[in-house]
Amino acid sequence: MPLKRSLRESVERLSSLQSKYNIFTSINPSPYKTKNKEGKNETLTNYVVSIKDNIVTKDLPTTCGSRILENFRSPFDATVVKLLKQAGVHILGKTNLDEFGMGSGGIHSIKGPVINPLYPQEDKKIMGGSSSGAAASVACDLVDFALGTDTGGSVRLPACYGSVLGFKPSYGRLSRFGVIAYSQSLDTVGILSKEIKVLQKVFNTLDKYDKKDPTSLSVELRELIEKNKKTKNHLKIGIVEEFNHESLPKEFHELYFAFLKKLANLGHKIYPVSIPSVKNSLPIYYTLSPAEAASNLSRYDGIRYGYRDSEIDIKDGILFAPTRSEFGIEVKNRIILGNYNLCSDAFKNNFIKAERLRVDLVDEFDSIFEFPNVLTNFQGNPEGLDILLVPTSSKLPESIKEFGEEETKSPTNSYINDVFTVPMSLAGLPSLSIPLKEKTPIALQIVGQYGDDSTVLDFVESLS
Amino acid sequence: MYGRWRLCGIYKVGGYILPGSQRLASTGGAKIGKKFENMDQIKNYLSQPVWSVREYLRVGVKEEKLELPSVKAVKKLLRLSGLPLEGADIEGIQMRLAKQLSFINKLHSIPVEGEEHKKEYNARLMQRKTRQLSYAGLLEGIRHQTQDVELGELSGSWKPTGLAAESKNVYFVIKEGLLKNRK
Repeated sequence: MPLKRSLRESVERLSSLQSKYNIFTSINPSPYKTKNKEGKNETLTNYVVSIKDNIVTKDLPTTCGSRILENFRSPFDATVVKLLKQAGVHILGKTNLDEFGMGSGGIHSIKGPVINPLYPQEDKKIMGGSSSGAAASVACDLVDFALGTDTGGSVRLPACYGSVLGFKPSYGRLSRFGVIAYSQSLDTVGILSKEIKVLQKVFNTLDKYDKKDPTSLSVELRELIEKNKKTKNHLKIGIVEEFNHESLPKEFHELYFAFLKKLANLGHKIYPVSIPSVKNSLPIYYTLSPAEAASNLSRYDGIRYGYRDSEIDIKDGILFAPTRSEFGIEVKNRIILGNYNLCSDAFKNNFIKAERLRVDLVDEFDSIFEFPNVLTNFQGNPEGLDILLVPTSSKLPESIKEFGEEETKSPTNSYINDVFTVPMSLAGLPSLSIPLKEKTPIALQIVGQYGDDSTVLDFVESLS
Repeated sequence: MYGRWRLCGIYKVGGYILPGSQRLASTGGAKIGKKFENMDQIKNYLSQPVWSVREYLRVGVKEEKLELPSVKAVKKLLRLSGLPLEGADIEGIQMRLAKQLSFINKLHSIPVEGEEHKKEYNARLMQRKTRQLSYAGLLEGIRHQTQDVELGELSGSWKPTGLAAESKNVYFVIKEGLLKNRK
């Protein structure tokens, strides 16, 4: 497949776009240097790529958009970075993000907010988060694809706001080794691109078992998924009743209806479906993910790596508080909430309850799919569906000022931006956000059963 | 035809509250309806929103009705979080935490006490039924175990203090007073 642009073109345009939209946290001074020593198996030769700045790289700093990791340089590459280098890519730089991946606006970074390039610069619209820089780098045609991470929608929402494709594969398919953990039971590496064929190639390159990642899907289960695959020309597609919200943008309905008409004309069958548990998803997510975040972020003490307060290690009798006070406001909010949920007083009522309801959600998703779930041992519903259609965002991009003001009033105002993306994260399902119209921040997710990533990707490819 | 399914859907899931309610869904099981026969049915379906995300924010949205966590509780959480008390906006944290809790505490009204729900160990997205380990299998695994240089398992392959802001003679430095003042 011919590349749309050369590395030289991207490098020439980079500086001006960076000053306008604040896309990168660091830029590779020698993007030409990447070499594939083996010289074989190069599946992505000369593709230009950006890497979200919470995925570690040997050659460039990894900051997570945080003062806590300012100037941190990893001694190793994440597995996904290593695989990309072996495949022959050029890494243009590390992309801006909400600090440690926590946020849906792309405004919580020590490097400042990413500005959405779909709008005039003076409008200062949000890019969506947390993979804000990744989406902007694709939207600006600086890269052929970007690597992001998606915990509750962090690839899909910015992809929607940038009018590009954003894919969150099934949990465990792409290695998390070297991805700085926010919430390990949900974190997933994702891919953003404008071209479905590029996205498929990248996914195929990275879709490998990794013994360094204890949550990596085993070879045995990958083989089982392959055996379960069926080729179908016409799919059974579900529209989920609980995602039919009054708050969807007006423009969405017209585009969505036209899309459904196209599918019906192609011979696909469309069904209504009800999955009651999706309504519980946001409270479940905001119980579990801050608890996991509180645990994961407890490692940042400044002693072994990262930023360290130059004067003292203890304040108010609290170890490492002077260093940890440098976390940003949103990260602090989530750590405090997470520790609340993990306290004995709240643990049973909040954390355990949320875990039980998460299991119910997974089981409900299982029951409506024909494809088996190799994790739960669900054998598949013979009358079940192949894919679901779900809106990506309940809003159009707001201005950075409006978004910030809403969030200051209550942190929960921004939590609801994840309403359409979080259910699939909790169930680990593959979900690909596709723009419904070129250069328009309105998108739809194509969702498959756990492990059935290829049906989702092939379906979107068949429409292009 | 579709209208009938819709009614069934609402009655089937007993705890599924009608639009306007502030409660979330109980877990009543998912259901696939009959195939849409034409675009009018789809249009009709899409024109009837079931709920609004604003429902999440309704309960306790008036600040005077929010139950604020105590100052003592907030200070305890700051300690647990390794965050300083001095300079902390305690009132602001109380308010933010109260709003966050009002948001997630909506789960409290959903019953999950029956045996069918006691399966929180399945919440991680891992294989639910795994093969049992055997003693012979463990020994076999140990026999084939190799040290991975990329994981730093090879002695001397990395310097633990190499990334520390402060170190001395390959020891980490923790500043004086730490142990004396520790609570």
